[in-house]
Amino acid sequence: MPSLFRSRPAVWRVALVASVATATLLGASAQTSAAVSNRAASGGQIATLTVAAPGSRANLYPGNESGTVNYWIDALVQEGLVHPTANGTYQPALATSWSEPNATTYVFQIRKNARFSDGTPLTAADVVASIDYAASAKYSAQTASYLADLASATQSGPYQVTVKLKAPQVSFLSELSSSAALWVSSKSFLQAHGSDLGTPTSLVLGTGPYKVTKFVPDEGVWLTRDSTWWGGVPKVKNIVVTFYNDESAEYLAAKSGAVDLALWIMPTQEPSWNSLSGFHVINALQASYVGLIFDPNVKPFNELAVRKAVAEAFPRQTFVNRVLRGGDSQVATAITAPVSLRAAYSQAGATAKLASIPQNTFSLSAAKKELASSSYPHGFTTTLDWPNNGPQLGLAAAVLASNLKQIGITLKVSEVPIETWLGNMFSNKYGLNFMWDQVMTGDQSELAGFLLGAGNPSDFSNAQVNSLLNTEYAQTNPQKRAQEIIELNKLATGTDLVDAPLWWEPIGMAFKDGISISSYDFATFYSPWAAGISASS
Amino acid sequence: MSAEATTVAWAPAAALSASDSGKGASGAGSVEEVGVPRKRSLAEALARIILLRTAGSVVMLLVISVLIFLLTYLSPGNIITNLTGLHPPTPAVAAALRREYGLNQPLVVQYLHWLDRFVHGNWGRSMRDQTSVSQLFAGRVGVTLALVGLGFAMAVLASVPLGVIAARRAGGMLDRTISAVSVVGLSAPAFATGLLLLYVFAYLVSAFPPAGAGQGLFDDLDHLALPAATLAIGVGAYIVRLTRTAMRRELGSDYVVFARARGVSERRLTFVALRNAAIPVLTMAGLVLSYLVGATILVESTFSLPGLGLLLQESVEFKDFAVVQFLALFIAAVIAAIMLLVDLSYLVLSPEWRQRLRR
Repeated sequence: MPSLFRSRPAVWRVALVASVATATLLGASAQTSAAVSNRAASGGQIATLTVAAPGSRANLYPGNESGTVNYWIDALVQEGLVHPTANGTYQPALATSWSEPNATTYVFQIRKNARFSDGTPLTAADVVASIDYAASAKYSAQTASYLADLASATQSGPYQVTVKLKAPQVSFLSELSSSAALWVSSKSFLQAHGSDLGTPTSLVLGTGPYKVTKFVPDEGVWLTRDSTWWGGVPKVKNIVVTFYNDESAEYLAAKSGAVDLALWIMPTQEPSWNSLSGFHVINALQASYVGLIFDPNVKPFNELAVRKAVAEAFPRQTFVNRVLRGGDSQVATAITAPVSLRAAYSQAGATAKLASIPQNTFSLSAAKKELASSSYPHGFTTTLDWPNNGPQLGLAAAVLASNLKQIGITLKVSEVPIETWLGNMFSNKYGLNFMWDQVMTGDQSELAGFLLGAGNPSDFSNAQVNSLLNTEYAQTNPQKRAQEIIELNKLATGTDLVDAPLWWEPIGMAFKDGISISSYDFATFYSPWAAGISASS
Repeated sequence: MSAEATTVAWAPAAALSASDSGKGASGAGSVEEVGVPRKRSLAEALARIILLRTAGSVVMLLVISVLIFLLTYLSPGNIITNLTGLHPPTPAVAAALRREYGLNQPLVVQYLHWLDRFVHGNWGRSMRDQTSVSQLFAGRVGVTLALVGLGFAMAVLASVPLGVIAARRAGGMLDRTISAVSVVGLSAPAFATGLLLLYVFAYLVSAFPPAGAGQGLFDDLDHLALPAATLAIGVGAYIVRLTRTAMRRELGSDYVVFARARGVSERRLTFVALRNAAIPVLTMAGLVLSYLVGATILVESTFSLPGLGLLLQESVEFKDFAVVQFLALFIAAVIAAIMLLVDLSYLVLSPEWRQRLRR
């Protein structure tokens, strides 16, 4: 599964949700399962769309740099075999159809009318070469692990590819999308460019609606449309993406008229962007999960009472209502967002199911009692780092530190580069960390698998959890799988308390008035999104 | 200033140079013959100082390379995590990456391999950008050099005259105004100055683009004007203050009083005083230029300029060994070169230094 960094490396993957708010704002349909070709914009032409992207990019190939924004940019150029949708299903991309003859085999029919932007037609051999490239640690360090269950990919017909797995994995289809780990390029191009892919001198080549004409790391990307795209001719002719490391500079650029679309508006930034004349922010709800993770192998967090004390010291509801005033953030009742369970339940049904999980309700007196029952009745000193691209996490850290101080715990909070945050999280030396992750594929166990599966950041292992994970990985019934994932959540956030969910936040995009997108949900920007953008009247 | 200094100051530069060269050329043989330590020719002395300074710089760079290598290794973070992103790699992927980048070897071996490649002209490969360091450097050095050069030129061209004016009007309204403005410049952090300039000149006035490096000479200048001004405001304040101080000292010297009594024009007096004040100003300018090389990080970040400063920051955070090593050594070498040039410039400005060098 991919992951995100807002600035440079980042918070990752995202969640879905067909958003009523989005549809209302855009006056557009919220039919998120519409095929890509049906997503085509109906408005007027746009000569050049200027896009502001947060952070900076060093390499365009998501296999080398899997920041969320990189996924969004590359989705305009390269495609996978399938695209995720906001209702938990997959729609055709470069595979027109697929079948599963058995639990470890997928057979894909490859699109015959797709061409690369250099004019060469897509072949099954290109798909096989791209899968092998994506599974190589040398060429795709950031995403190769997602294809760890891949046994082989072979051409089984003129336009047919057969993929075999080492073991059943019900979510494997999601890995073959451009929202996870597959970006199809031509075999000869991959062979010619080797590990240089995505650099200014070896730009990515794909079958998507746009081709990259220029890439300057840390400055921007220039794209122009490819009128031969199988999905139709986009209304936007050219796209110029500029990377902004400084959010104030980005905002001033928008004020000065240099921005048509600003990607990824944080909840804390949303009020100022909404008040910016000529702009409006639209949100994909619950696209991002924020929580605390505990490492139960590190003192004093090896004691359940200490973990409960910390979890009960954070005022989730008031923080969401009074601090994250963006309007679309919600208290997280689980690590799995309701949108991830859309294959099994309605949005309301999934929300209700997850709300039934026992919660660690905010109460400083209860937190104090928990602490008193631990081996640290008088408190202790610990640290909590927050990544520099998530200012809202910094606010949460300050609030938590303030509350913990009242029960005797000294929490030293620091802003760190995202790489440091990541390194600390997986170092097994820190008992308390933030988790900030996005839903990208819509697979039901996307977040639960990451937070509780092998190599999880809590360094947590529990026989019951492992058994449930193994069962749900092979479970083909969506409802039964959802129930197993809810059970996993109960163990992680209640019984064992290695995860303390804080809130689900939206992924916001700021559009200049007069520019519209045909639909917007968590999955939109992982497919050729600019094909849905046009000038509105 | 002393009488010796006065003599030096009033001696025609061309005549001094000719005299020095003549002594060096004709006197060397005769001094050697009588067993007295001979004076070196100016060329010999220059060659010697350049050789010694270069040798010293090489040793310094070697020490820096060891320190940077160790610090990058010891800094927080994990290179495998950085290479693989948020989601943990499988053991097989992690092992493959360690092999690919030589991270499974002892630290000393890693360093020696790097050193061996480096001295043979192979600067390594960026783990973050997936391109060679030489390509990465070539693609970015132009922006940074242009930014530093323009910022330095702006700072010197604006600050030296302001410092001179402030010195000549010492205590007056103009002096106080210039001093107050320079204090603001000294105090304002670069990112704040940058945002202020963006607000005024990119948003309110719309005179300059808000981001990017531009394409082509004039477009480049257009894009670099605000970031260069941001750099210049910060460092220019230092030059104003130092120029004012040095000029005040010179203008209060005996030789200026004597000259004034002889009826020498104020304009000419200012010029002569400025030349005598040039050594401390030049020293400061050299330090400022060295500082600018490393000060581009915030400015490049604010204005989305793809230069070396931003690259260095990101490479440090990523623990991208090869890039950090190369950039640190490059910056150190540039600073050493600037300092050497500043020292050599003393010889052009001061006959006294030329004499000292030959002893």
